[in-house]
Amino acid sequence: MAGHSDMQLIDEKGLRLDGRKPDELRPIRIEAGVLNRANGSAYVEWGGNKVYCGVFGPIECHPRHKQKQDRAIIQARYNMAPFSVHDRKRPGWDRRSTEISLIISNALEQVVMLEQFPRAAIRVDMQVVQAHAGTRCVALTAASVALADAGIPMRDIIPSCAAGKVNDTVVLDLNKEEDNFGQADLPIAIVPSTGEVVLMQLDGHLTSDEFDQALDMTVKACHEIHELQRNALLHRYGGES
Amino acid sequence: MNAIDDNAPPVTAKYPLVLPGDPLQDGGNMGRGTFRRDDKLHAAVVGFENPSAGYSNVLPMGGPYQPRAGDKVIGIVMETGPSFWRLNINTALNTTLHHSETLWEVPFGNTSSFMKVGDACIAEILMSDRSGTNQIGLKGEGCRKLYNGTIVRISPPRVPRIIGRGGSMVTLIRKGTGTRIQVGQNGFICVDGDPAGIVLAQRAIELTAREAPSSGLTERVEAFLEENKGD
Repeated sequence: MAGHSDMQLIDEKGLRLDGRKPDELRPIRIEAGVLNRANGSAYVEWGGNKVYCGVFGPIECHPRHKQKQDRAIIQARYNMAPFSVHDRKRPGWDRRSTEISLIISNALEQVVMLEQFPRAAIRVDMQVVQAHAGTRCVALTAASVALADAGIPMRDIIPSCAAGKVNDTVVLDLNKEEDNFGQADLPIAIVPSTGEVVLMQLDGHLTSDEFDQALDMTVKACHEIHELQRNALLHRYGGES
Repeated sequence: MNAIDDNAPPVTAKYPLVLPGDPLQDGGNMGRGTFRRDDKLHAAVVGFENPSAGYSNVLPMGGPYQPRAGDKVIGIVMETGPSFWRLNINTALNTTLHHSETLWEVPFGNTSSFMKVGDACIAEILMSDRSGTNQIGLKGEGCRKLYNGTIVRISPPRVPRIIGRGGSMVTLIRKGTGTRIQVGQNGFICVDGDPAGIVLAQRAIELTAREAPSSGLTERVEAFLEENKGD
């Protein structure tokens, strides 16, 4: 990866900079229904990441040429607040947010029952308030909870998580330092009930063994995150969690 | 959708809350809010499983208005054409109300002298199809233009709770606030009366909608109206 260096990211005991074991997630807190004006919403705190997501829709799709005659489209918008990073992010769209918005739309389109709302759009707005690596996974995790909270029919709730390689070790859920100075980053999102992969990107290099190991790790972690997403919704609607 | 009885035990007692992708206990026909995967029914929305008449349904906790023929809805005029109005009935797309579906003799090009942009009416859904187009009319019983009032918007699946069994809840709010209330199945509610009454009714409606899934709501709304009377 771009910032790859000889920086020591794992100590002799095999622990990482923040004291985690290689296959350990950062602490995650998910809350559903946090915003009053949106049809559905969610807030996710994941290590140093803080992401809000609000859902509107189905609403009329604009611009009109993007309408699909037989189904709805998902218009996801991933945005980072200027104060979400150390060096002030210049506000507005950029290459990176366009890409992340697109991959999140594509992932959500795999589970939302779009055919029930022809010619409509479902707007998913994600706002990264604080970033500390892995925000696309956090944003997608929040987005699927917000969609369920909005009562949009869907086949499952998507969890997402990343794995990577630092100091030649495969680790789960990279933090900022590992993301910047590590060797690879592999964000993944799955549909837990079927095991389908709906998002996968790879930055850096992994051998096929390392890839298999990283995939196993993320899939296992995704199931854990799915449980947290479920608990957030059950808590919101008064079920037993 | 049936009105929920206030005194009945909460639905939770019989069936647990289900989330999108959860398998359903009941193996009936595929009803609303469900889908089939590997020959088994699963929930598509957050809600309570509610089997009825051989169909497995999931009563949603929220979500968009899904029009059905025969529903009485409140529509707001968004656009006028030479022989039709385009109404917002809380669906993704505006719905056309053709002048031939009203009882008015509308001269061509003169629709806005009957209803202007921003005006509201109670209309009936005549037809709803899977292409997302709906037909509405003003000829049904109770359909009319609304001249006064404020429109309160709530989540459409919570409308039955606002109405209550046999209209008990809406009657309670009407009496407690001295307002006239028209409830549209689409979640638009027209409240008319003196300003203080409208504000109180709006708060009571929002309270009912927010706490719709819980039991003992009638008592709480009663207490709320009593507490805030004459504010």
